[in-house]
Formats: sequence, structure tokens, C-alpha cells
Amino acid sequence: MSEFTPKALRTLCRSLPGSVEGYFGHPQLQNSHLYLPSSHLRALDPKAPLVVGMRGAGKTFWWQALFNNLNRAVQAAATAGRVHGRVVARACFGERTGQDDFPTPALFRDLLNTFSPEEIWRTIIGFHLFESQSALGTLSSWSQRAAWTRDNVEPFESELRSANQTLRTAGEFRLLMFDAMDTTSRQWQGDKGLQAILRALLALALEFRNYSAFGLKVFVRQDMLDSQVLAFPDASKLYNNKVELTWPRRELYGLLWQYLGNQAEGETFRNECHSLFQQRWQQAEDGGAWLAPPAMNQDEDLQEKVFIAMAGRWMGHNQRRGKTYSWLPNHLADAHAQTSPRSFLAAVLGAAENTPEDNRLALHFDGIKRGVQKASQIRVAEMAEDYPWVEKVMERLRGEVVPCEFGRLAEKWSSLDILGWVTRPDDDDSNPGRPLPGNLTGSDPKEFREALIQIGIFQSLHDGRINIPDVYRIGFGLGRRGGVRPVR
Amino acid sequence: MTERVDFDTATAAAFSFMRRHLAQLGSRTVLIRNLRGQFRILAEKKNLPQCDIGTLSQEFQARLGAYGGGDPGPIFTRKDLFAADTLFDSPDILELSDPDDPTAPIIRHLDHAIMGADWLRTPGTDNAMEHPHRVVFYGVKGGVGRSTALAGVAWYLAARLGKRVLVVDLDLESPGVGGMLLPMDRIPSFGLIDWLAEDAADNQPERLVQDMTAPSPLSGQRGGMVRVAPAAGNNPDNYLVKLSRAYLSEGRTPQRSFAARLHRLLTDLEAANAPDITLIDSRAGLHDIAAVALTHLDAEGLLFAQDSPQTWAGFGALFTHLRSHRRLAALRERFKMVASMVPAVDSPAYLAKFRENAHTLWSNTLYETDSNGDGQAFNFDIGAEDAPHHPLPIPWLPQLQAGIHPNLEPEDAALLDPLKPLNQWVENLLAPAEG
Repeated sequence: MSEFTPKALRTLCRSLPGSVEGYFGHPQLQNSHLYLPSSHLRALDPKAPLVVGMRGAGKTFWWQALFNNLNRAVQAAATAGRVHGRVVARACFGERTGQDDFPTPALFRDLLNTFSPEEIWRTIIGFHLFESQSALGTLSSWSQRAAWTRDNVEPFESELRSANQTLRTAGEFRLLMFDAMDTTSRQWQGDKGLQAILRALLALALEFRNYSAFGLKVFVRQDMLDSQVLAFPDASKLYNNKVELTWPRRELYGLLWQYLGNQAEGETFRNECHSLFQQRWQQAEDGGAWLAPPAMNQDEDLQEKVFIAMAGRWMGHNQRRGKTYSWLPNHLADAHAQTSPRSFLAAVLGAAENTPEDNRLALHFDGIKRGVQKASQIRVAEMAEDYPWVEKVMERLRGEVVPCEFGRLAEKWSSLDILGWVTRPDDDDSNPGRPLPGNLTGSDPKEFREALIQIGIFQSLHDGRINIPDVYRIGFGLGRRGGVRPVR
Repeated sequence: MTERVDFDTATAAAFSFMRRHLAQLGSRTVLIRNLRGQFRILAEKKNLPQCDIGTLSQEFQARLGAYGGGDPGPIFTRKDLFAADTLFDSPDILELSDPDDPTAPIIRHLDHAIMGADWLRTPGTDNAMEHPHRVVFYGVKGGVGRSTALAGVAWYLAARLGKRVLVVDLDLESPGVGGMLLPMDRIPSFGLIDWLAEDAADNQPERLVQDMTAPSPLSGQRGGMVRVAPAAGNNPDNYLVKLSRAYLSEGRTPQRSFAARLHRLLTDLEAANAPDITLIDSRAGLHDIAAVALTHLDAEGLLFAQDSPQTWAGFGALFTHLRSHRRLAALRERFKMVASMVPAVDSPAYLAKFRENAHTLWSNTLYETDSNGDGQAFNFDIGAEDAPHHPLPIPWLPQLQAGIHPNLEPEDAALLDPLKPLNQWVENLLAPAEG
């Protein structure tokens, strides 16, 4: 026998997370399911202040893993870093923690009416570093704390130095983490805009880099880092040392194994990895997570063999339709050839759900195709969360056919009220949540083109035409050009 | 009707006329084009009233002008002709679908061309016979390293994998692959050209088959074997004279069409040599022999190309023609582009542009429109590795330019490294089918 027991593995695949909430949301955040791509180790380094990743790359995931003190994440951070002592991570901005760790987005926006972004950030930073009996610690509201910070510049600095000393003595490195930056403001430009807020925070991350016992870690999307955000002295020092969260193919499969091996029914899978491929899983020393041997996460030839034992070699009856191992991530990739781990797991889940019970293998290639279509919907929903304007803009292109001239797409926008929608005042309640990037003024459809290219939805061809990779094309309901009509 | 009519508009008008009136004329009606390019219609229905014929003829001539034929005609029925059946049942009739409308009726078309009809003819039934895997190496332009790649693949399959490989040099006008794999003193007595000459004269060509192949020294030590069937045997006499008759195609009997003859030749060679796979070097360009090789031999087609406007224009002409092929669906999925002689400098950018241009070619011609993304249409994204347009790359390397020759030693096998994607692709053909 050279294949996995199909039924058991299929059932296992059907328990994979398959929604936008899955994987990176709280409920699934378990030490045992945590997979650490080797390239992400640098992102956990406490001395790496700027971590960049596309939507779904794992920014919030690492923020939460460190905040929730997941053993293996914290250990990895300690190992990756050049810091003394144990790493203690604090949530300084991001999703709600249930505690008063930082102002809510609404409060943050309110504080901006009185305080500068820098004053607010300093306040939060001081709050997480200073003793509880310090002035900042004893004040009961964020506006009082911010007022203190504003009015006590020199005491703030000396408190900072003594906090660093105290932490050092206690053998602790305090990691101050910032995520979900786009909830701080509803506008991009101006004094209260996201650009200014982010610029102030990044400048502080750079400024505090020289303290030995604490540091900032800011998780942002690449498209947030425009030239205005980086317009502060020595910004290049920060930017050039940024760490990017990417998911090469081998890491996607590594993540899949981690999930399968640690599900409640994962034992059969682990045992068969050993009996079929001599790959023995081991349990972490704390008795928690099962870990696949390194080769299963690094050796693509081995990974392909394992996946063939799950899904067969070809996406059809022979090689004409491609290899399953490369087809799956390939068809989920955006225009920058990046695949989000969530859509990858969702596609495997969909593949299992669409494979008949009596199939010889755990997954059937037709099931994989269906799974990829489903994952495409999930990827579209994921993007809509981060970029509400994308949904509106792409909605207008439904039924169009790519690749095509940009002018054809631009027509769809100009004939409707899209441009007007984009330029509507930012605090209009019909346009809540995320601010629009500053480069979208609505004066020219080319702005959309550039923005869509940057976030990987549009692919600009060398002759100037626009293509849309399948993962978005299918989800947004566009067609693909062909020279003959299909025969059915 | 004052609009100017030319060859192209007349062709379109003739087909559209046929589709409009096919019900009236009968579904087996034949649209005939003579050597001069003029159209006639041989209606199936015997008792079509004379007045209808008159009206239809008038319309036909009005639309086609000089291409609509003169006196008599242009519309005939069975009773106008002496041996109508030979026309109705001619093996040269092409059954053409409308690439823009799959629901449109099939038009039966008889093209009395000097050559070229083999591109669209539906393969004969004997193709269904079991035979070894076949791969045709083809390029619309020559000089792109096609034969070198073929020789390298043959060497790889035999020496590394222990396979039995038959190499057939169909490049009759410019033979090459034989010399890469066989030393001069091993060239067999007869070449393909001799078989074709004997076959034309009905002089038992099968006698030659035993003396048409020779083993290549590049066969390795693993039990593999490369046997080569060169275009010419060791006697160069009369080559050009034989060549001028090689493509003889007597369409009235299916067995005598060039496609059928070539198929028979190949089957004979395969029977005598029992290969695991047959690699066929087709001549370059839009020539009949390439048409047969790509569309009639039940083979995979490797399409060699460089990223140049001439290349894409050539493939464009070929693919546009193939759009009407009735068995397009079975044909196109067996094609795969090869990007040959990829420049060493900036090769990722070169390949990206190649991919886009190849994708444009395929989307304009042979890919199906995908309107709903349900994955059912034969249509691929630019970056889809499995797509026919997505090329297998072969880098430009000095050692490949120097070429493959029969005196290479096993340690020269590093020469094969740049051919890895191609070797792998061909190797995968030999893997057993799944599921």
C-alpha cells in the first residue's frame, strides 16, 4: 500500500478551518496547531520592529500567538532574538483583548481631537512599561493619561529609562505589539489620518530601538507603507530591515501537515507518515503539539510524495492537467504569486467535502477543483474585510472578460458612481470602518488600477493589458478570454 | 451588391450561406472549392425545385462575386453529375464546426487544394489502434534547437531510464537528428524517403522496414536503446527525385492519403522495433508533413518557439486554421509549448513575456471562453504551469549549441541538465495513467 487510508484522512481534512474566521481567529489558536514557517522566525525576533504581510499572511496570528503566550511562539521569539531574558509580549493595539490594554478604535479617534498621534502612542507605550504606582499607572482614563504624557515630557523620559533598567534587572524583555492599524482612523490623510498615525508609531519604533529591555513590533500591510508614512528621519533604517511574512509552497504544505497531525483524530495520519514515508512525528517536550520531522516541511520532493498519497499525482487522468502538488497553490496565487494560508486550508477542506466517499484516495482532483473555487470565495471575502472599496470596484466588473485593455474596465467605473463613492466624506456612516488609501482620490480610474496592482488583484501585462489571477477572477465573477466557444 | 469580395470574405460568405440554407439543401451537402479558389455547392437533396436553385444561386453569386463561380452552377444536385457518390463520400471532405457557435451545423467541405488539406482532416479510424506513446517535435520556424532537444530527450530516456526509444526523422527537407545520434558508418540502408518512394509505386515498402533503423551509441548501459530511423539511408542517390514524390496523396482512396501512408510507415517501424516511445522530428513551418504529424498521428505535440513576432504570427496562422477542427478538443490538450534557446540574461523576464504572448495566442484561438469560472472550460490563467501555453524552458547554452553527436561519452551527460523540464515532461508520459 502506498496511499493513506482514504476515509480517515478525508474525514481529517473535513475538519480543517474553512471560513474567514478560521485558522487565525481565537478559537483555533492552539499551541498544537501552531506552525512556524522558517521564514517567519525573523518576524518573531523581538528586535525586528516592522513586520509586513499581505492580508491573511499571519500578522494578527503572530500578534495573538505572542499575546496569548503560546509556548512555541514565545520560545521561537526568544530563540530568534538577540535579547536577554524571557520575552513578555503586551498587546498595545489590535483586536480587543477584553482588558483595558489600549484605547478602543472609537476612543482612539476621539483622543485624536485633543492629542497628537505621537502623544497617544507614547501614552500607550508608557502605560505598558511603567510601574503600576507610576503617574500613568494610577490615572483611570486614557484621556487623563494622554494629558499627563503631553504635559510631562521630561518625567516620561526618565520613567522610560528606569523602566528599562527595572526590566533588565528582572531578566525580562517586554515586547510591545501593534496590529490592526487601519482601525485607528477613518481617513488616510491629514493630522488625524492613518498616514500620520502610522508615521508617528514607526518613528517611535525606530527611536526606542536602542533600549535593551523593551521594543516595539508593528504589524502592517505593505500597501500602508506609502511614501508619506515613511516621511520621517532615518525611516529607511526601519524599512530596509522590515521582515516580510510570506508563504512559499513548502510552508503551505507544512501548515497542512501540522493541522492534520494535531487534529483529535490525527494519529492515523501520523502513523501512516511513518509507515509510508519513514517520517516519524514527535511530540513537543511539553507534551503538547505533535511536530512533523523537518524533512516534511522542507523537502519539496518528499512533500509531493506525501500529497500524491493523499490526492494522486495528476489533476486528471494523466499529466496533461498538471500535478496536484503544484496545481493547488498555483491556482490560489495572487498576481504577486502569493497564496494565503487560509485559502490553502480552505481549498483542502473543500476538496475533501467534494470527494465521493468511495474514492480510492482521500482527495479527488475534481474535488480539488471545487475546493479551489470555494477558497476563491473565501479569499474575496477576506480582501473585502481589509479593502471595502475593492468589493465595490470589482463588483462593477462582474461579467467582464480578462485579459483585456484597461480602458474597457475603466469605462465600467466611470459610467457609474464609483468615483463619487470613493470621494465621499470619510466619516459618512455609509462608508464605515477602514480608510481608503491616500492614493485613491477618485479623480482618475488609473488610481484603482495602481492600487489593485499593488494588492495583487490586477496583473499588468507587458503590453499594458490587465489580467486577473483565477483566485480573484472566479470570486469576483469575471470570465476569461477564449478563441472558441465551449461545447457542452 | 457593390462591396468588394476577396478570398477571405468570399470564404466567410460561402460558409455563412451554407449554414443559412443547409436545411433546405440537405445536411450532407458539400461545399466545394476548386484549385482557383472558387466555390460550388453540391446539394444533397435530389428533387430541389429548379426555381429554388435559381434563387439560391442568385444569392450565392451576389455575395461571392467572382468566387461564386460561373456557368454552369454554382449549385448542382446529384442528378447533374455522373459520379456524384464519389464526391459525397470523398475521404477528403472536411467536417467543419463553427468555432464561434458550437450549436451551428457542421459543414462538409471539399477543398481541392494543391496541398494543405491534411491540417483539418479527421484522423482515420486505425488511429484507435494500440501503439507506443508518440511525441512530435515541431516549430513554425527552424533553427530553434528542436532536433538537438529531441536527441537529448532520446539519450536521457535510454541512458538514464533504460527505455526503448524510436527516433524518426520526418524532416525530409532538412534531415538532422539522424546525424546527431548515428555515426556515419551506422546509417542504415534505407531512409524514410525510400519507404515513401516504394510505397508510392506500390512496391511492398514493408520489405524495407528491417533495414531502416540503427542503434545509437548514445543508448547507455541500463538496458535502454535508442533506435534511429533517418530520413535518408546510406545511399544518397535520387534523394531529391524521391522527395518530390514523397508527399503524394491520392485522396480518392483513404488508404492512399499522405496521412494514412505516414501512419502506416510509423506503425510498421514501431512493430519492428517495439519501442516504449517514438520521438518524431517534424519539419518546421506550415507544411503538410507537419500537419499530418501534429494532427493525425495520435501523438503529443511539442511546439518549439522563441519569443518573436514572426513565431507568434506563424502559430497564429496554424491555430486559427485548427479552430475549425472537429476534434479540436482532443487535439489541443496534447500540445505543449517549449521555449527554446531562452537567453541567459534576464531569463525570468524573457519567460514572463513568452508566457504572456503564448497565452494571448492561445486565448485568441484554441482556448474556450470561460464565462463562469466553474473550471469546466478548456481555459487557463497565464501562470498555470499545466497549461499548454505555459512553456517548458530550455536555456541557451554553448554546450547545447555545440550539439549532440554520437561520440559523446556517458560523462558528457551534464549536457542533459538544461533539458530537465523537457525530459521530465516526456518521462511523465510514460507513467501509468491514474484513476
